[in-house]
Amino acid sequence: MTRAIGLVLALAGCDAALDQRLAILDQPRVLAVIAEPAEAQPGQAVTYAVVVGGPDGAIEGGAATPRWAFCAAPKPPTEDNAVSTACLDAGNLVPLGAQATVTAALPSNGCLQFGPETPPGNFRPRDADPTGGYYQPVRVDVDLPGDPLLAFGLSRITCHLATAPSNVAFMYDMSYAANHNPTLDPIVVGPVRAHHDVTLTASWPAAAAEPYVFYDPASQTLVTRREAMRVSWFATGGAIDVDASAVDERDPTTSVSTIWHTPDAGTATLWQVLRDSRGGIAVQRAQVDVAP
Amino acid sequence: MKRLAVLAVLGALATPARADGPTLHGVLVDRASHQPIGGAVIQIGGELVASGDDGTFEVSLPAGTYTLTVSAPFLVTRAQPVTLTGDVALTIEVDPAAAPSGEQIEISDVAPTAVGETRISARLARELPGGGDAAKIVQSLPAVARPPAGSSDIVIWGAAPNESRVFVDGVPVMALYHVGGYRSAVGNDLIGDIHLTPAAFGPDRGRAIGGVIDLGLADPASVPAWRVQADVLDASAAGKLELGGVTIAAAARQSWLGPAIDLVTDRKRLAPNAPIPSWSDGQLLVRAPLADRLVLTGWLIGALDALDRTLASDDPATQVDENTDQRTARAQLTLRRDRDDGFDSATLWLGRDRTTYDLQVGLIPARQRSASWVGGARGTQQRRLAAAATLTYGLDLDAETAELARAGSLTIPVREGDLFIFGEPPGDDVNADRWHASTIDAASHAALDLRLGRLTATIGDRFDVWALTASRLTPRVGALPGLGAQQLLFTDDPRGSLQYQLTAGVTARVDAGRYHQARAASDTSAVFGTPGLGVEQAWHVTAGGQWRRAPFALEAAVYARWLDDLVSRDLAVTPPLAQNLTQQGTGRVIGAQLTARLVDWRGVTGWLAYTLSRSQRKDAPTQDDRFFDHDQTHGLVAVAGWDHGPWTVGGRLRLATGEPRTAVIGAFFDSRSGRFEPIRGAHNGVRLPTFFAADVRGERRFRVSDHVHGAVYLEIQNLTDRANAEELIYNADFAAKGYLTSLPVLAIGGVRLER
Repeated sequence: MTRAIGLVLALAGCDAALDQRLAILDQPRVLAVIAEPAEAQPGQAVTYAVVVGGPDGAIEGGAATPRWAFCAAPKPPTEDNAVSTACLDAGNLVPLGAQATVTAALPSNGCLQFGPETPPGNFRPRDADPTGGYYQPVRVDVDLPGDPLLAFGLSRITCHLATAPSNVAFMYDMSYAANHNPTLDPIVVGPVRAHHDVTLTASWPAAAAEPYVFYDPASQTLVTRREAMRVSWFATGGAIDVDASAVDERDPTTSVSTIWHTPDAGTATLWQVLRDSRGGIAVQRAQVDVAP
Repeated sequence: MKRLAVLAVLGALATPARADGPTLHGVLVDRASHQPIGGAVIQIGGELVASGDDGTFEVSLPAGTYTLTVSAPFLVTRAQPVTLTGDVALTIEVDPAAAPSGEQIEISDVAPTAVGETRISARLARELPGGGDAAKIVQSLPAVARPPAGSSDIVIWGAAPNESRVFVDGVPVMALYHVGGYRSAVGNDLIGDIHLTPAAFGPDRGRAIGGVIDLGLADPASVPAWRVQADVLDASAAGKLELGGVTIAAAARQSWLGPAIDLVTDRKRLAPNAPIPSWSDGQLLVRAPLADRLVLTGWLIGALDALDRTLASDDPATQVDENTDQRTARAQLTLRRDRDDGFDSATLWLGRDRTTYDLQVGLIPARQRSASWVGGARGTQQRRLAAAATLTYGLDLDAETAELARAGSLTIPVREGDLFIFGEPPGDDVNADRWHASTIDAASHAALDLRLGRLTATIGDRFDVWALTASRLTPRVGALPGLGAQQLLFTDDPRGSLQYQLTAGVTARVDAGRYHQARAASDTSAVFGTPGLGVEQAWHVTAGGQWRRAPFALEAAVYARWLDDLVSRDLAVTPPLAQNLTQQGTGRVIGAQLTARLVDWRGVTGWLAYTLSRSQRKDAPTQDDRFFDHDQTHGLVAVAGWDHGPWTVGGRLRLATGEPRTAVIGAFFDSRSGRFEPIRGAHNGVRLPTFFAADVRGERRFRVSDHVHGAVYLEIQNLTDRANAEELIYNADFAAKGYLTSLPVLAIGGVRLER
């Protein structure tokens, strides 16, 4: 029997290795789409910016002028993706212009299209995300020569509760505070030598993880929660232990760390992208001279 | 006397009993004519033998008192006590049975009676690859699709797993296999035989629009005095006790696969994607003869399953934590009286099922809870109306009341037909609901078997009354009382068959019928499903020809299924309130199957089956046809066992077309999650590579003492070390594609002792 177990152990383990890592930018990639403010009511103006990085560092300005558009197509409840497949079709897009940042008013029917409001006729309200949020998709195309990038930002919309008891919905309207983008402390990296391990730390003020009122659909009551935080790590070279580090909403920690195995000597760029669980984003970037 | 049916691979049971001790020399004769009876099965003391053409049989057993049972589809089952103190000669008189519904007379020897039907003894099944677990043989039977690794699903002739039903002695059970599919959930030691009807089954079975698997529990008298078995997967023990005329048998099993692996390595590193569940099951079986030909049997079976696993990730947003806890129990009492012209049978059964499933993918939760009481009653009477006419009729009550709760994404659990990409987190739009639902099916059924010369016909019908309720028509809003959904539906299912005996060993047969099954209680949520769902329906037609000349049998079959009113997702962008599921789904299955069987030819028993199948579904009238998620165009299975002296060697070859999958043709970046999301190609537009596996099993029996026998066995699965693809997988930005492959080689070694 021992031998049989040994056979099992020796021969098991079976999935083909496919790279699931995104931390090292071996090709141009959108790292974040930032909405400011992070949450707004329908009709309110929001400014969008995109962060693009590549093997040579940040990609900005004329090298990659993004084209912006709102997607007008809500996703069916059976769709696992964050946005509808119809958002890939130009016919469902509302162009916003082609510039580094764009400011546009959120569609006034956002809570009907993407939120819990329903048209007359007894239709199913859309479900909120695990934080109670609804989102307007914002499409951005970055037409790098030979390497077009497609990304979607999701701009959180403040909507009324449509499926809650009226007293709970009233209390929600009275107490809910819209999300703000978190802030992220600048990246601090000491002298760096090639092929050494460097500890990277991302930190943020305690207030960045905001408390918020959440409508719990199971108990149908309001509960106060705190945003969970997640930091994605990026570098133009070397290797990073993990793609992202997270802090649970019950954890008051305000910093996370990982190890960067530095690349060959030269200039490297690091990014930290901090996401709060309600869709707020902050980005820090640093250029690092890697000594031999 | 090669004139009546001995099903499928029964001939394998004719191997000589090997125990040392007194020998029973028996002869079976017809009570009226005193003509010898061949092809009947004799069970005694854990041994199974078949009577020869001259009615004789022999079996050697240790001295003791046993219950001898004679059975065959064409006989009234007879049981009688036998005491062996030395060699004994015994003449046993038996009575012919009336022709049973759906299994027609005048079929010589070994092949199945209905088209595609297979019956196999548990003893033979244990000797074939499948880990020594009798019911695992179902996955290797003709008509059953090759299951994905780690799956407990059964796909029979293009029917979805939830469209087929598993019965134990006529009582429906929650699942045939434990979570992970390693072992049978209804135990092993007390299983007597396994009977698969892939389509067009008779009117005595209902609530299924696919196939039916019937497991028959053994006569407890045939169970060894005790038996213990242990291998890499689990350990089991069984035994029996005789109190007067009452025989009680019990068995229990406990898995230890996880702890066994932990002894050597970290199971998470060993196979992070392979489920390593824990399971246990137990069975208690009682048989009490109350009077001549009047027998009371009862049993209790239960199973516990748990699976906890964490798929760690470099990104907490894609880390998966999964916990499954499943408990099920069934209890049954049957009173059966055999008469010269038929039998009367009454069954009461009760059960409890509890399932808990928790999934957390990053921040996205999914939870399901269900607790159900199930129960029913069956009464059947068979009566010979004339020499060539037999009527079987009965009542069948089946009820379920379920308390359910669910939270999370609408797309978890995944349904047949979902655009599922392996490894993709579920949608992060979530909700919650709790509700209850009940399902009552009261049915009457009747089948008249007629014989007109070479033509045999069965004309049957099943009439069901369905009472379906769900606690809420609309989602809960605070404490506002809600209206429930109630429906009373009536369905009438005509079923029948025609069989013509062309020559002594050649028959042709056609079966057809209509079938219904109720929606699942879990689909009646006002938030995640539709409270007002009704019943799904199907038409089955099978036709085939059989040629039999012992020890060979050949069968050619064609089959078709038309499925209608299938529960499927409403794909609308904004579906109506409380109508997330519709009954607009349809399906169509057509196929053909060739089966060659060999029964106890120089100790070799086995079959070779090739199935050509095309199973398509449509979720709504406006949708295009797509392949069924488990469609397998070609399926080839060859299974054989060789019994020689103290050795038994078994082998299995399986070749199957890969299942359909939806390919990813692009990707975009989702800034909120920081991950790429797939752009899907045609629904089920590509297939996994062809599956091939060869498995072998060897067993060596030995004698420990005068009364104790032992055996050691070793089974090696996927002998050729082939990396079979089980799923399509992608890298983080979906630019590269690969396959998740099953375990290259799995060896299961074990030991068994019994008295």
